[in-house]
Amino acid sequence: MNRTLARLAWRNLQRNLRRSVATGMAIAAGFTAFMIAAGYAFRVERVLGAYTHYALHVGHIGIYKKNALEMFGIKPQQYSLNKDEQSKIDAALTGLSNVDMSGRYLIGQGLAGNGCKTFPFIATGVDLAIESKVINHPNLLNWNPHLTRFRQGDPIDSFPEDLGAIAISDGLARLLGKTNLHKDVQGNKPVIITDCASPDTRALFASDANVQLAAGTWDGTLGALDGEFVMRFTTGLVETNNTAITLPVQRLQSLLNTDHVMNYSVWLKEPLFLYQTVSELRARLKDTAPEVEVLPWTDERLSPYYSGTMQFIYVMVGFIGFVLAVVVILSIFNSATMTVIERSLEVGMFRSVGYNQKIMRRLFILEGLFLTVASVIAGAILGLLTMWIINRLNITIYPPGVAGGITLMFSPNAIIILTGATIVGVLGMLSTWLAVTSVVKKNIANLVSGATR
Amino acid sequence: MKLYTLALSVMASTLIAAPPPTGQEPAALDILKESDRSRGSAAVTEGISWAVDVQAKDGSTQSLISYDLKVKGNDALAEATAPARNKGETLLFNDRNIWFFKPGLKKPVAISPRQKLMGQASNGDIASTNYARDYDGTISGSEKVDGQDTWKLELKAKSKNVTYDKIRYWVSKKDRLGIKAEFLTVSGDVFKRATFEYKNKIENGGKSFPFVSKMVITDAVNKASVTTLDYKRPRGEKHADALFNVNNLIR
Repeated sequence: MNRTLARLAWRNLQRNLRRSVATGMAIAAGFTAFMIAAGYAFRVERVLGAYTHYALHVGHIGIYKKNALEMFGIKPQQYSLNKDEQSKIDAALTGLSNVDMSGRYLIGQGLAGNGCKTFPFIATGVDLAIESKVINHPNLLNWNPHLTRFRQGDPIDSFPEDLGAIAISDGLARLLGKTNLHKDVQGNKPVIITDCASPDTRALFASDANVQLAAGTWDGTLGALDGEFVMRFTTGLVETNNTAITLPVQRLQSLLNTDHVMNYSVWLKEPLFLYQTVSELRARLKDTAPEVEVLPWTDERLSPYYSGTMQFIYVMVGFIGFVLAVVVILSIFNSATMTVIERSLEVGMFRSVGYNQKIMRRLFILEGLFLTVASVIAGAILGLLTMWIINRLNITIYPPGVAGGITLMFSPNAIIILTGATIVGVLGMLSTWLAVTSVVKKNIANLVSGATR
Repeated sequence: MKLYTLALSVMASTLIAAPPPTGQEPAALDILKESDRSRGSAAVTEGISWAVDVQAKDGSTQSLISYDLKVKGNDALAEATAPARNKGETLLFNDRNIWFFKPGLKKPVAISPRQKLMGQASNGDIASTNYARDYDGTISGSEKVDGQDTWKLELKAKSKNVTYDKIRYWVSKKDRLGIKAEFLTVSGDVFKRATFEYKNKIENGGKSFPFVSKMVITDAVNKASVTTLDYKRPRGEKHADALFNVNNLIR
């Protein structure tokens, strides 16, 4: 019976091919748009997620002094983790099975100089023990290849401590006139520039890899140290690309004259268990370090760029999804209504030879389902093809605030596609049911006589 | 005849030394030049030296740093003498440019006069004051400050690389000494206040004139944040020009 109904439904769809194709094309086009938007959202989510976890050193979990995210910039001494708290955090992290790695971080700002001019910098003091693992994490390299494309030189942990190795963002390096890395000018002594107004200062700046970092210390005086430019990198963001410096946390502590750190970042083996691990850490630190707070990376204060961007993209995809749902409902409803009215005599005939209301409803719903499924398949093929072509074209786009631009890429995700297709299929069946249910209920005599038209 | 000549010369000298007629204000620039002299600027043409202790208090936290200063014309060299951790750190003021250097550093660092030196004191506060050179001044009125008649001057920075954008400055009419100052942001909000004392004396050409002994800077919002600059042992001293050459910092 079911096979007969299915065959009948398929045949009925072909009876008014123009209408079926028009309805199907509307659904297919909507599904293509939804797939592309979802593919873009998925890619951005992965890119920003990996960027936040690894390039920004946020990790999956952040451990801070309470209110540090708001107050550290104003009162760093008070809102940072002291030695005692650091040892308690180390103890709490020991033995947590889901912890992959953890590191201590510090932020500081000051002026970077080349012997003539200075420019403001914001330095991140990083934990050298894990830095290479963090910046070369497969997740970061896979989703953010554009970051490594602009990375030159060797990591700071590959140099002896007394060299004072630092990594400088390409924008700041350009401002300082430091076009050569330590490896390019190895053996050159720092060049003292006697006349900063001389026309050959640019060449002199480039002839060594030495820079000076000066900053107000946490005890209120002025501190300074030398740095050797060993690595150039891009932050990916215009607003930070002209100011960023990375150096070992101990060097930054020495510049700021402190033994405190701003935070701990923790990376998990299995990020799916993020909240479970956060709770476990909170429980471990509750009594030993009550002034410390443990935050998941999804907290907007820890990842404002990720949160802000994704909220916008989710709204965009949600809107496209809503438009698609409206298109599906209206198209199918319209098509089914017209079909059922045109075919009311036929419905009456079927009813008179023993097909009950339920079977008739099922027939029309099957027609709607076939149309929806065929349209979704066509839309999916078109969407995949479009994304594949765009990905192959390597189109660079320049969104506001992104240094060097990014390659426009889409990443289709099977779960999102299947979920979308299921929702569209259900909506198609529901719309058909709504359109046909009142007609098939009508009296057979009225249907056969054409009184319902 | 002798008596006549004497009478004439007495009359002439009386006329020359007489103060300006009532209602005629001196130029703001002249007031600034004279008040600057007692804050280290061009006090002695061949050079001047003094020591300054900068003590910052902010609630319970307190810190102190001492400098020896050598000044000549528009140049100044400030070398930290205490505490031991900061000993040898040097600030070199070449006109409006400031260089920071500490032992072990491979090159000096150019810094801004606006950057905080310690507490509420900016780098530009410890060296000699040259408001006459750095600011356009206008007299906006007369006020009594601590019982003294003063001119109230509104100073506006001539360039961006000076310590403050705007200053409201009260100079005593009697001694032409800066008594009080308010430091303002570009938008005109007061962010720091300062008072001055002149208990030091300095000799120049056989003449003695008052020299700043204390500057107390208070944060306009956080009244507990107070920085005191104690100026000690001001004296005329001959300084070689080479002392103020930035290339000589790395020795």
